[in-house]
Amino acid sequence: MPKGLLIDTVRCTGCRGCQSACKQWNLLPGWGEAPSDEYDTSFSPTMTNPPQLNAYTYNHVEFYEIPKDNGEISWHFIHTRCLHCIDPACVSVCPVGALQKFDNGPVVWDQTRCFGCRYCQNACPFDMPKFQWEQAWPKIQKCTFCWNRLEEGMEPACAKTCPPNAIEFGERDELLARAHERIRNNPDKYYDYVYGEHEAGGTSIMYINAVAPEKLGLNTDVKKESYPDYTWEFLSKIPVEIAAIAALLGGTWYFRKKRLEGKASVTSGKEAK
Amino acid sequence: MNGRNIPLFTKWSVLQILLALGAFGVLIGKLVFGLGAVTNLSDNWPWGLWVAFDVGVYIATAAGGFTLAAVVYIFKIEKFRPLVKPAVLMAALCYTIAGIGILTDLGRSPLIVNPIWMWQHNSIMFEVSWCVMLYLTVLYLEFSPNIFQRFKLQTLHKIQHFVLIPLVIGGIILSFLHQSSLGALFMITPDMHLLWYGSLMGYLFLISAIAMGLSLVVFFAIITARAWKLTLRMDVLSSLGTGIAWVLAVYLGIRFIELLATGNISAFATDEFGLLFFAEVGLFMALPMVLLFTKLRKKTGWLITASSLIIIGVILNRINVLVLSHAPARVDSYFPSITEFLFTFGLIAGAMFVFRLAAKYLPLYSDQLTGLPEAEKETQPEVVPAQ
Ligand code: SF4
Ligand code: SF4
Ligand code: SF4
Repeated sequence: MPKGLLIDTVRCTGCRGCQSACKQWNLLPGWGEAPSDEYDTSFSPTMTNPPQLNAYTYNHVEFYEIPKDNGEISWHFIHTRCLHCIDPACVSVCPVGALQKFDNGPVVWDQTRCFGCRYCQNACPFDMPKFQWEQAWPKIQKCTFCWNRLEEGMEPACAKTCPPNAIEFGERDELLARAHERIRNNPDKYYDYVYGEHEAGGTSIMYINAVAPEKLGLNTDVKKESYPDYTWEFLSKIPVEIAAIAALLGGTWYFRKKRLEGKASVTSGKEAK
Repeated sequence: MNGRNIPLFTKWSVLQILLALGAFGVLIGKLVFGLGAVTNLSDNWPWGLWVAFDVGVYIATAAGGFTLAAVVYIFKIEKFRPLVKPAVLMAALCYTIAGIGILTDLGRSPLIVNPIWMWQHNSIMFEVSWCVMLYLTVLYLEFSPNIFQRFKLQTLHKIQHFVLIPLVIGGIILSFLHQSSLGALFMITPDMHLLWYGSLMGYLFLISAIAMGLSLVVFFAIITARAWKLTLRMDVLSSLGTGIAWVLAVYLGIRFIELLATGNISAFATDEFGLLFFAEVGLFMALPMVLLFTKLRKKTGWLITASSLIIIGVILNRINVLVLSHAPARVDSYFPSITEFLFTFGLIAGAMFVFRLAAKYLPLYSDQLTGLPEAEKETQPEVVPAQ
């Protein structure tokens, strides 16, 4: 059964444990240690460090200050990362099959196949795959859903480490039911929307929040259909089109040849007279 | 050989060589230091000027090759024969620089061959890579008689003659597939600017490529005829002009019908995208189309103006579809670096120099006078002493 993660940003305290645990498990350097001095440690305007997801940060905690009705400011924390779509755009566009969807949920990149075309970066509706721009032999990098931990029966490092249990690991459909139940039981605490239930046809990682998802930087313009279908509309017609063009061209050539030969024999016949 | 009029070194060809060397330098720089060092691309703008030219412009410019091959070899409209050989060479060179461009743009360039044994047929990019490989082969095979003729390889020439028709048909199919696949690359990003998005974008790419490819044939036929004192076949070129106008009419028709049918036309506003759209469609496509429908196409000056406008229009279209129309969904901005420009223009310049070499040393223009009445052939003042 496909696994999932339910991220409850109401519980999140912004401790950044998941960001660190992720770096630790995946042996990722800090932003400042990346092999180029372009990557000096730096902060975003809201004091997150590094400023955004990058090829050395698969999990990034972001801070949002949102004014309440009474004028007070409320703080919200959310971590961004690849959502492991059920029908991933990135997998469908990769020309060499370097990105693959595992049956139990993870979408994983294979470094022996990728040739670095970056079509996945263009296609991902959430802009999640990141590229090592400063490397001569670059990789595409993103959250791996800790597939190698799942294989050993462990939960992902970020879920394991989260102190307030804001990242819950489990079967996707159970998590989805749990999310709806939690919203139903606490209507004053949660905004009634499970982000990831239908986005891009559904994702393995889902969010529930106190406010509307777009206020926390979640892209709500993402379509609800599965993305590979957009291209399939075009691709599925190709075999028929090839056959039609081949027949048309072959036919025309043959017909024209016969016509011209016919004409030629008529004229030469005339000349003979 | 008929290369007497064609000088090897002029100020233009020296510039071409220098630019091509510059492009080679950028390629080496990319291989050693990575894409970040030579481009302004980033995770926010993963594709930029190079992709717009490699898979957009260069491939589109090659469409003159398969179109003219179809017209002359399949539909047997002999009138256009003088244009076929140069068009096929132009296509081969365009595909070659597209290949070099894609090679350089890949993060891991040496693995460019991976799609040969790693198949992922749901990917349009997979289709594209196979088409590039196969069609490049087809183009050089189509062009090969020039080399066989030059070096008097009669047997090879005969074999080539025997397989010409299957080759041409195969090439047309590959081109159809390829040109339209490129347009469909972005069907998966419905968040782009809607003036350029639609389910027919694949087919639109194919049709605009034909207009672009033929315009380039016209443009270079006039330029080279002037520069190298070849016979200028205005009779052939101006009727090709009418053809281009019809192709554009079909293109604009389909494009506007789709924009209206999907309602995407409502995305038109008087902002920078509206301006880009207006320039692309109005100034660089509709205007030259009208010019080509009138008698003005019989005047060399107007013909070259119209074809240049169309070339610019389709280049703009490719840049819009592949790069600029994605701005609404992106953060930060992107402007190409000097090295990105140098590489792009260097590839074009290099191709132009190779074309000059071929024109000088291969019987590229041996059909130049085909179809002219005998009397006129003798009086042609600018005829190259061709054997
Ligand atoms: S979020 Fe993007 S990178 Fe992650 S699986 Fe979906 S399409 Fe792929
Ligand atoms: S960059 Fe790599 S992983 Fe992404 S689509 Fe291209 S080959 Fe596949
Ligand atoms: S699942 Fe693993 S790779 Fe993904 S964010 Fe969590 S720790 Fe990082």
